[in-house]
Amino acid sequence: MKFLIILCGVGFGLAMGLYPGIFKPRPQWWRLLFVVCFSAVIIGALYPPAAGTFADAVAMHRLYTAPETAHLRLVPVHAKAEPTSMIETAQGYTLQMQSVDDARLVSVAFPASLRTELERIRSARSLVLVVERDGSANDMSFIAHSIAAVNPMLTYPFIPQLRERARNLYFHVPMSWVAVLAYCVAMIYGWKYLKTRNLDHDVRSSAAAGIGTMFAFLATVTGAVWARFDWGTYWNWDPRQTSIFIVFMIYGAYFALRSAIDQDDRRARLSAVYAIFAFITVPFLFFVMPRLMDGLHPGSAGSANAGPVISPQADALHPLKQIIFALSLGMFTALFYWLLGLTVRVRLLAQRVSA
Amino acid sequence: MVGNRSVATTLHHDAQSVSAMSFTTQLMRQCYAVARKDFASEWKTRFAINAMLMFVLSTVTMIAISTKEERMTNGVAAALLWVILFFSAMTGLAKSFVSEEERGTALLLRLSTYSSAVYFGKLWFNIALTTLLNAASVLIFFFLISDITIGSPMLFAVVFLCGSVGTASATTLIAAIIAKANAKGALFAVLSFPVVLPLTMSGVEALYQALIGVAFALALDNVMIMVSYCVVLITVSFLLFDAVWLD
Repeated sequence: MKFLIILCGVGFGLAMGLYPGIFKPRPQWWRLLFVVCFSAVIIGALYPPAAGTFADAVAMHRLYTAPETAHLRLVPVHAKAEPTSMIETAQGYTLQMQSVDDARLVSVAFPASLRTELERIRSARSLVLVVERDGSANDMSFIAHSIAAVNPMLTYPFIPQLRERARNLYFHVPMSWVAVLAYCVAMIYGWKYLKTRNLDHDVRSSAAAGIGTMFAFLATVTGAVWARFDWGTYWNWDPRQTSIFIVFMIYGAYFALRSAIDQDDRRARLSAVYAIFAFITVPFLFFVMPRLMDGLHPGSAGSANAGPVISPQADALHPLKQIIFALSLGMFTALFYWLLGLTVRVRLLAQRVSA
Repeated sequence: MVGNRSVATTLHHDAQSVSAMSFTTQLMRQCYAVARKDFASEWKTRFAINAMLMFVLSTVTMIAISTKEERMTNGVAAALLWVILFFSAMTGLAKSFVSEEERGTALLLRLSTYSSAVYFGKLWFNIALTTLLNAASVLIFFFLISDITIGSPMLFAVVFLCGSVGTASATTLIAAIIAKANAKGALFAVLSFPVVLPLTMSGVEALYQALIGVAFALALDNVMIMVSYCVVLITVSFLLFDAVWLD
């Protein structure tokens, strides 16, 4: 099911990217559809709050017992619960609720600061509360710290290790995918150039390589920022980080080669050969090495989980996340083809003007 | 492409009239002739081998002197050895094609034989040159830096051979490319480095395993990556060589 959704997303993006032809102007409705879908991806990725259950809050409390990790014990929970009673205390009041998820009785203490806010939004049927387990009382009593959202339509499942940073999945992974796709397209047009010796194919190949380099850069930057907050440092020489770095160097070398040859047809021929030759490293770098070597990315040799995207476990990726992830993959694919078409058209026009 | 067509017509032609010698035998002979020509011209000047040997000698000496006080671990030794092998290859391997262009003999070679014969001839020459030179590097390295022992000589030999063949097969096509570009010297290392790196990632690990003496079966993963990478590199180079060689 998960793979079907992802396949649909990529297929939709490819269909959009290839319609009405990569190098033809896109009709008005196409651009409108693209903007709508891309906005849906960004809103879907950023807007819904990430929230767990009360059981998650208990688990986090057990995981982080030291005072210096106290801030990690704060868990946003989606409180879909029926209030049963209210007890006034000196600090504020305590709400007794029955959790809808597991029918357990939960008590949440609201400090005085939250009290007025809570009275203002009395009509709320569900809340995303940031809570911490009250260690001194019984197992299911919590202290509320803040209200993150009121009546959320959608919530993301709270992933203890990733927390809010899980949203980066919708940007980082599609960017890496587009980087590989772009290099593949550069190789295909390089091969077409060698077959037909039509210089237009060379323009297409180098444009795809240029756009691919840009996406590889974006994937590296989003990955490095993500790594800083999940693994501790920006750069760890994880096999996947190494491989994107090498791919960078390949295309740096590709553009160095292009600038070192003056004749148009010779430049096109030799750079096409190098694009194809260098692309054979991609399966090794992206698919073989990261799985065989120890690393920090999910799916590495030493890692227990295959990663949410490729894990055979059906519930590894929340259905909502699957849909947005698939749509994001598709939209980044379409964006790549749109950029490619525009770049190639501009370059061909510039050639015609200068000739 | 032009080259394939000419090979195909020759094949056809051979099958009909010169049936005495099969096409494969003829190709093998021409490869051998190209390689022999390269060996002969190398032997005449000994430019590449001398330059590369001196490069290795000075690099190892520099490492030996600058790490004199340090106890060298197996990991560091494997890494340094690999660095020496790669950069010494970078000094001499481009020569086989660059000198053809510089002397103006490329045209003659292009006229007198198939491009496949040129590719495989140069590949043989480069493999032989790299293996010889790497053997010299290893000997000098272990002679000058004596606190390293090889735990598993068999594995070491296999990794050493894979590394040499891999470096040569990754760089032969690139040498042909840069022979036609400006700024040859710098460009060769720049273009070769990323293509050699996947080999390096497994190679360094396998070399380390050889130094600490891991059983052969445990290091098989890395050796297999290296071998398959070599096979892919040679196949793709062979397919692309026509496009580089025939102007």
